[in-house]
Amino acid sequence: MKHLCTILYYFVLLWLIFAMPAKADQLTLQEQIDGTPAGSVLVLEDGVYTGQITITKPITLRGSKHTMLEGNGKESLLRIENVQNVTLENIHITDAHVGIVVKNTSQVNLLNVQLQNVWSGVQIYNSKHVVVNNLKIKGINGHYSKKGNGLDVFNSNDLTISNNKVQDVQDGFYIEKAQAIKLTDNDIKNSRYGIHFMYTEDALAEQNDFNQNVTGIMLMMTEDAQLQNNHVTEQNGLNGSGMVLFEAKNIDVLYNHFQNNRTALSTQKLATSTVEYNTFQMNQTAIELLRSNKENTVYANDFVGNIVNLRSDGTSISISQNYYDDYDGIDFDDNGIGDSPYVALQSFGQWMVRKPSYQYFIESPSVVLLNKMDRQTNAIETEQLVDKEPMMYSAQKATTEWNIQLWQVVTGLTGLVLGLWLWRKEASV
Amino acid sequence: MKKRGLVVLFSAVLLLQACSNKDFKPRGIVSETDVCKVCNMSIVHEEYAGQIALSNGDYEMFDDLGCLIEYMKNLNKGDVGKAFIKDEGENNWVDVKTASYVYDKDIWTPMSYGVIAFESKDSAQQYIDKEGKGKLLSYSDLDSFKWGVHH
Repeated sequence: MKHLCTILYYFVLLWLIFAMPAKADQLTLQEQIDGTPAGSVLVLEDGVYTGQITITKPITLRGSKHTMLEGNGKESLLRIENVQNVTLENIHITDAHVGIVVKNTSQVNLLNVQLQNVWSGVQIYNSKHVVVNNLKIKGINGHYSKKGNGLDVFNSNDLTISNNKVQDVQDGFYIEKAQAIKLTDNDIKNSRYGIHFMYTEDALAEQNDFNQNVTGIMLMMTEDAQLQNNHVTEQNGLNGSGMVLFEAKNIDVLYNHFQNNRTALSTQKLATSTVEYNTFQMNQTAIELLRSNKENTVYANDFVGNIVNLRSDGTSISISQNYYDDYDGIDFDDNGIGDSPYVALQSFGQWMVRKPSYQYFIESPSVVLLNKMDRQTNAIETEQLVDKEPMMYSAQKATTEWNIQLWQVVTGLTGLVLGLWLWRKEASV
Repeated sequence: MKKRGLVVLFSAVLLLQACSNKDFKPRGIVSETDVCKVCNMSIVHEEYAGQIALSNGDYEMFDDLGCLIEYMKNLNKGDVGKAFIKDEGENNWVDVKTASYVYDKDIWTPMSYGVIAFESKDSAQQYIDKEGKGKLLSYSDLDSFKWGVHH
């Protein structure tokens, strides 16, 4: 009996220690949020916080150097709903199905948030005036068809999404039915599409870096967009494209650099759009035009080292004053414009439009011979894929930054003088 | 000699008949390489995918029912062997012509057309009852359906 009482005593003691309700300083994160007055800043100490969280009041949630929110990989971890003026910063999120869900909000800022091992990073629904800056999103392992997107935006307007790094997701940014959206200085790689626009109006994608995705920018059923100064490289898989513009209107593709893509720019059902001042370098096909209308222009671009510069399904387009490195005309009047037209028409290029698998024969002897025959017969072509004013020189001025290191100059000069002195000394002996 | 000729003729007839009665079956999707014939999107949401087995033995793949219907409209009747769409409930291939459909502006599909397929009218109706939304459509309704985003 005495032993039984002792065991019971210790059991009650242990229960008091471990199972009693938490004290004020041991509140869960949700309890801390609930206890924070509207308009205040809640600073989170370093540590790992678990459990789902919902923010429905205007607060700032600020993490410290090592603040981590950890989920169970099956649910959305942090929800911001039906609220204005919420800021989330310096947080590290891991192991969540969806890292952050933002729904029916206004003036939400997501700053310096790192998300890893998440099926999908951030989802924004029916919101306005949202800023997403300096997020790092890394998806789960596996094929992109089994993953969610880095950032989803649905039915929202006035969004600024900048300086984010996204990799290993399905689409870096999936933008559906958004208005007034700016995507600048983002870096997206190893995903299906870098940016996927659907039914969007008034969009700007500027100075983004797309590398090794299936497609850099997939723009569909979208109007009034500017895609400029982006660096689009190595989208070179079987179906790889730098940019695909599908059923779109009023799209300006300006000052972009396309390099090592299977197809740099593919347009389908495109209307009243411009492709100007871009550099197409070492792509398999630079520009592909399908079922697009006459009001599109391809002007003042550089085509350098591409296998096929332009190809189409018979689509007519205004092509003028581009520079082609394989143009072999001359400029007698020295006005910088070639005296004879440049004809980009290639039988094999046209065939590749219809059967993409023909790309694997692109440098075979028979195709090379066919291209040579095309050059002879193209002299009489006056309509299709003809640039009547090909430039003799590149439209873009190549800029090289000179980084002179003073110590390297001094060391080099000293070595030179010393060498000369030794040489003269030995010569005099 | 006459007998031998008859045997050859009979065999040839059988062979030709076998060729003309081609049994068109759906093929599996390869997410890495299959892209929609109409919109060029990779097919990653298999549950909404469609395909046409052409009479010449080729297959064309589609990411959304709307793309499949648009493509079928431009084909000659003899070019189409059989067209298939994924059943929303069961994730198996069903004949486009015998399937039933549900449309609602809030149903997400890869092209946001909002139309999903079911093997039977009953299962389509069950979906509408369960979700409390949706309009029942038949294959013939798809011909005049206005494809595009509706929200």
